Amino acid sequence: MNIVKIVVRNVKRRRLSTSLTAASVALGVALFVAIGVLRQASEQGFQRTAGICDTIVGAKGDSLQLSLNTLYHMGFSAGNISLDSFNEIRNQEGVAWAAPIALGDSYRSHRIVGVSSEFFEQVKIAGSGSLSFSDGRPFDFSTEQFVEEHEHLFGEQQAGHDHEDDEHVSYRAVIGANVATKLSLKVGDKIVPTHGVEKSTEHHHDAASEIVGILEATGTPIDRAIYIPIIAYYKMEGHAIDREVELEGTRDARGISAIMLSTKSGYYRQQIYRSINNRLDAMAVFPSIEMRKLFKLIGSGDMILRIISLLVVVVALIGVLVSLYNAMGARRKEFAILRALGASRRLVMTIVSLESAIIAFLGAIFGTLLASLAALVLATELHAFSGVTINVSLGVEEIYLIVIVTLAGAFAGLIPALEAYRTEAAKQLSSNV
Amino acid sequence: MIKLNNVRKDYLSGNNTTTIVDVAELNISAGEKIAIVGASGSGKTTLLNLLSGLVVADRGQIVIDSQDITALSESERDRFRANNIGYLFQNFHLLDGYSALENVELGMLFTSGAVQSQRAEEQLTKLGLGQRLHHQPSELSIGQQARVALARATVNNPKIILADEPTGALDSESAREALDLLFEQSSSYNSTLICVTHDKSVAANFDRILDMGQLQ
Ligand SMILES: Nc1ncnc2c1ncn2[C@@H]1O[C@H](COP(=O)(O)OP(=O)(O)OP(=O)(O)O)[C@@H](O)[C@H]1O
Ligand SMILES: [Mg+2]
Repeated sequence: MNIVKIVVRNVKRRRLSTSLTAASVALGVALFVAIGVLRQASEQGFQRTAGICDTIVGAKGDSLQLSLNTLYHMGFSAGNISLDSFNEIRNQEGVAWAAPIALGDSYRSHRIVGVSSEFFEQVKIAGSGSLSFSDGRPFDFSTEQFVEEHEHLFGEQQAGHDHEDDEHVSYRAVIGANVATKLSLKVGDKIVPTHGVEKSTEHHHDAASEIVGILEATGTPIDRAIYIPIIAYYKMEGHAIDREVELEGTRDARGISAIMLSTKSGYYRQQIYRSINNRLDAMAVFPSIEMRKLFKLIGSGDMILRIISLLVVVVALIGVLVSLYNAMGARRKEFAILRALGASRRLVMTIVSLESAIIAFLGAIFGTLLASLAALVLATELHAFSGVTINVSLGVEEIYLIVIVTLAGAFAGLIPALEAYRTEAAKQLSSNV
Repeated sequence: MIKLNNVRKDYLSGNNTTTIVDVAELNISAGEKIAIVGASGSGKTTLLNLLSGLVVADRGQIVIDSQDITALSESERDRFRANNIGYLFQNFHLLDGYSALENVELGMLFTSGAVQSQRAEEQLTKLGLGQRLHHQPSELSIGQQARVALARATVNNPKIILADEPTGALDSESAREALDLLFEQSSSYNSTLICVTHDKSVAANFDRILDMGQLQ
C-alpha cells in the first residue's frame, strides 16, 4: 500500500466521473495538439515541395496564386508569359536551369502538366534527391526542342511544316506514383486528357498519350500529376482558342503558364529575382517565402483555435474540480479515518490534488493519442488532396503540454483538496454513519 | 508513562462554552489496561481524541513517554499518532474499496517505517482471517470486521491502544472474543490499553476503571 495506490484506487472507484471528466480534458488537449501538429507538419510538407526549385516565374499577378498553381496544382493560372520572355529569362546570366511549365488540362481529376525533359533532370526533392522512375523512362523533349517546335507552330514560317504526329514525342506521358496506383495505369497505357481542370466532359480525343514512365513517389504534388511534353499543349486541337476564351482573353494562348527556375548561387538568385520583377510582363516569386507567408497567415487563425482549445481544457479542468468537490461530502469519513491512522492534513490534501492531477494526466495522454490519430487521418486526406506528404510526429511540445495540463489538474484539485484538508477528523469519526 | 496534568477541553455550543473534559491529574503506567466509563456525552471519546492528538487540549499537558504531545505541532502529532497509537472504533471505520489486508496495511502507511504486507498478513492470520485477506469490508461479517479493525490498530504493536466501545456493535460472543484478542495483544506487547465501554461486565475485566463523571 502506498499513496499512489490510494490515489489510483480512488480514481478507479469513481470510474464514471473519472472517465467523463478525463474525456473532456482529452477533447481540449486533442484539439490543441492536433491543430499544432497539423500546422507544423503541413508547413514542413509544403516547404519540402517549395524546395523543388528556388524561383517561379509567371505572369504578373498574385504571387501566392502563382506558387500554389505551379507547384501544388491548386487554383488557376493567372496568365501566361510569352515565349520571347521565356527565352530572355532562361538565357539570363546565372540561371542554372529553367523549365517551362504549361498547366490547365486534367485527366480524371489529375492535373496534366506540360514540361520539358529538364524537369525530370533538374528537379530535386529535399531528402530524396532527383526524380527517379519506378517503371519506364522520361520522354525526351528538351527545352531547346520546345522552343524550336513552338516557333514552327506559331512562327511566321509555320506553313509547310509537316506533322508526323504518330511518331512524335508529344504523345508520350509520364505519370506520378499516385496516379499510377489510383488509376491503375501502367507503362504502355493510353490516356486522353480532358480540357480544363474542373469536371469536364470535353476530351481531346485526338491527343491520346501513351504512358512511357512512372515516377517513384516523392511525397509532393508531383505524385498526383501527369506530365506530357509541353508542346503537346499547343498541338491539341482547339486548345489554344479555348484557353483564351476561358480566361476572357487576358492571356497569350501561345505563351507558357510558368517557369521553374534555379539559379547558380545566392547572389544570382537575388539579382535574377529583381531583374524579372522589373519586367512588365513577368514576375518572380520564391515559393518557400510564399509558403512561409501563407502559413503565417494560417498561423494567426490557428492561434485563435489554439486559444479556444485551451479554454476547452480549462473548462474541462473546472469540470474535474467540480466533480471532485461534489464527492468531498461523501468522502469526509475516508479522510478522517486516514487522519486517525496518522495521515497529516497535508497528505490528505495531496491525495485529492493528485487524484485531480491523474485525471488531467489521463485526459492529456488520451487527448494526445486522439490528436495523433486525427492528424494521421487528416494527413492522409491532405496527401490524397494535394499530394503533399506530411509526417505527423509528436515532439517535446506535446510532452510539455501533458506536464502542464497535469500540473493544472493538480492545481484545480487544490480546491476540493482544501476541503479534505479542513476535515475535522474527530468530528467525522464520532458521527455514527 | 501517560501523564495528564490539568487537561481541559471546552466546546463552544451556541453562545456558551461547555467544558467537556477537565482532568486535574491522571497517571497511567505502561501496559496498564484501563476501562473508561461514563454517561453518554460525558467526554469519553473526547478524552481518547486528546490522547491520540486528534483533538488539542485548551490547556494542560499530556505527556506520553516523556513527550508532551500538547507541545507538538499538528503534523508532529500526526506522526506521533501513526507511530505510537492504535485506534479502534465502535463502527470499525474500515475503508470501503480496500481489502482486509489493504486496510491493515493502511495502518502502517503513515508510520516512519515501511509498509510490510507480510506483517499485515500475519496479524490477520493470527486473528483468524487468513482466508479473508482479500475480502472487502462489506463481504465480511460484523465480527470479522471487528477483527480487521483490531488487526489494523495493532499491526504496528503500538505503545497505546485506544478503543472506543470496540464491542458495542458486536453480539456477546463476538464481543467476548474481540476483547480477549485485545487483551492478548496488549499483554504480549505490553501495550497500554485504554478502552471506553458501557458494559459493566466488560469493564470489570480491566486493571482499573475510570469514571468520566468522577474524573472531572
Ligand atoms: N467537535 C465538537 N464540537 C462541539 N461539541 C463537541 C465536539 N465533539 C464533542 N462535542 C460535545 O462534547 C460532548 C462529549 O462528547 P463525547 O463524544 O466525548 O462524549 P462521549 O462520552 O464519547 O459520549 P458517547 O458515550 O455518546 O459516545 C458532547 O456533548 C458533544 O456534543
Ligand atoms: Mg463516544
